[in-house]
Amino acid sequence: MEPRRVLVIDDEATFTNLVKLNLEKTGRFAVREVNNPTEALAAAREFRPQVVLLDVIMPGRDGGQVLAELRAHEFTYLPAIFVTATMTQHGLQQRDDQIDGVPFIAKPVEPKKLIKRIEEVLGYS
Amino acid sequence: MSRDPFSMLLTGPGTGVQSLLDALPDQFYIKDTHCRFVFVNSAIAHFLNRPAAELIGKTDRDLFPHRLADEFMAEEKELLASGRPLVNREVCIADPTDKLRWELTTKIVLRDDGGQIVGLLGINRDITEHKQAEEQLRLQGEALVAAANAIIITDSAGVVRWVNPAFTKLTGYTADEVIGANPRILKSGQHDPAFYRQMWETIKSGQVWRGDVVNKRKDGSLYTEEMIITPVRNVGHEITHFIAIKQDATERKRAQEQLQQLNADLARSQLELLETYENLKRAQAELIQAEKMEIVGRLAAGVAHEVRNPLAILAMGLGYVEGNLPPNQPTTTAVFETMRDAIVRADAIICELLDFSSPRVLNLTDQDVTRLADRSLLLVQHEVRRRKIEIVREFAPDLPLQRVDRIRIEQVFVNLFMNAIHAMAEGGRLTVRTLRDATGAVVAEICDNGPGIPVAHLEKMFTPFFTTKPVGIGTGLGLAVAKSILAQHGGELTVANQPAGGVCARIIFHKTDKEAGHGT
Repeated sequence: MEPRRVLVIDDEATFTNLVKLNLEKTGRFAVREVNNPTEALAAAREFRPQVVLLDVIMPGRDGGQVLAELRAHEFTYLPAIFVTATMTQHGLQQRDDQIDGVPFIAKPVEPKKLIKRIEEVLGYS
Repeated sequence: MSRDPFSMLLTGPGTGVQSLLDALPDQFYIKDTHCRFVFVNSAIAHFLNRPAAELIGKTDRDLFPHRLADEFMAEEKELLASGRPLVNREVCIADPTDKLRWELTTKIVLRDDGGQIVGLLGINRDITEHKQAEEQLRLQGEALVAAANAIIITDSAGVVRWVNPAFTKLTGYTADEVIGANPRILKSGQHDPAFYRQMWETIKSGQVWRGDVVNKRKDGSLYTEEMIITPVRNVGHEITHFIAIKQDATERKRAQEQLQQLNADLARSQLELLETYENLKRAQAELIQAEKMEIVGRLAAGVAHEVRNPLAILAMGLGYVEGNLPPNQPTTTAVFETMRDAIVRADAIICELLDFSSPRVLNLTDQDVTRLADRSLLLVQHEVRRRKIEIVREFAPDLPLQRVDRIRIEQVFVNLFMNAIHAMAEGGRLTVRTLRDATGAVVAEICDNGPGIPVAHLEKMFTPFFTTKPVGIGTGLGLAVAKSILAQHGGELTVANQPAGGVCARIIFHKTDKEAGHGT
């Protein structure tokens, strides 16, 4: 099976780098990193991801705004997962791990768990 | 030949008449027409402090201050000229020791057989003590009149004989209106007959009566007086009069009542002030707490974000490196486990902090508390089994549904279960009860039979970051969070040692108006 394309948008390069390393190690994913949220749309157009991971709190723009921008253009149905440090897992549980239909996952997260979630969202596990 | 009347008298010392006259306490003397002493008795000699013989031939001028002597002599000259007797004149003179004495003086003229005035005869009676007594009485009389207190003097039958001006001022009755009448005209009707009877019997028996009386003035107005009635006895020790001294107590009574009222008001104000002060203190404490919470909240959010990002990197990094480990290296694997645990622990602390300090939005749904308790037990079953805890369920069926945030309440239950389980390190019994209390409120009880909470910790239990658990197991936010969740629901959480041992935590869901409407 062809590796799934994952776009990771987070201002912390060390984090996006580690996500890439962990996901690509499985052989099932190809990862593109974006550390400047203003470059998200351009990167998406180029990479054509099948799922996007977004941090919420970023300087200049928050994850919500970025996703809104993507959705407003050709990526209306692109599956997304918010990966955030400011929600507690408990808080997320309260909301069934999603807000307004967008799945959330709380940092810190283990690679295995992140992968599982991504595959859930993509429609298989 | 006219016979000298003196010769009748002057028969020499020691003889009959002389000794009679010498025996008199009154001063007795005879003077000639030139006002010279011709005869003196021993009383006057004694008074003037001279031997009788020395006085013969002397006039007043030789014995008294000139001004006084001239007065006497003028008087005597007048007497000798007119023949009119001078009877009972009061004179004040100084004796040789300069003490003032009062004398009652009588002087008459002596005539010879032919009716010619040949001299004068004088008698002086010392009335000093009498005068002093008189003066005393006068002063006393003036005092009674002038006294600010009203005074009534009655006879032994109680008929008014005398009143002073202060009486008129107090009662409105003039002396004329009351003298000869009975003081009962002042009766107000506020005292029963027994009161007056007791008063009368007391004074009739010779004792002093004291008391407060409500009387009626001439104009009909009532007033209160303090009265003392003293019986007055005569020399035969019989009661002849009663003196009543009155003091208007109306003002005093009013002042007293006012004072009592003021005292009561003051006491009440004081209580109110104390209450207000306590309320203010509490409000201040709450404000400070709220402010702290806000600061902590903001701090927590910032800290959470800053700390969790590196934690996320650690987690990702661990995951990656772990995958590259050669197999069969148990120590290395164990080390990785430790590192993983550390990340989880760090995150847990941040979570609790965030949870505690952020404003909570409750997701309210109708829930059965029994089911919530039961579900929460499932969440801790691993710990229960590990420590071999016995679970006793005493669930009430058909509890009215409570509008609560399911996840939050389960969080509370889990927290309380974990506290109970940790208290029973060597195993024990966890009793979980749901019921309705006397007021109809739904209550859940979580009881253990562990060692109980030390008294020193009871007060601090709900304080954030107070924990008795070893480092790494509890952050100390659990009970504080649980209590605040309950408070947010309008409920209550209490934790107490049980008399039979162990601890019971009690969750009370207070009835809401809505629920009352549902019927039970």
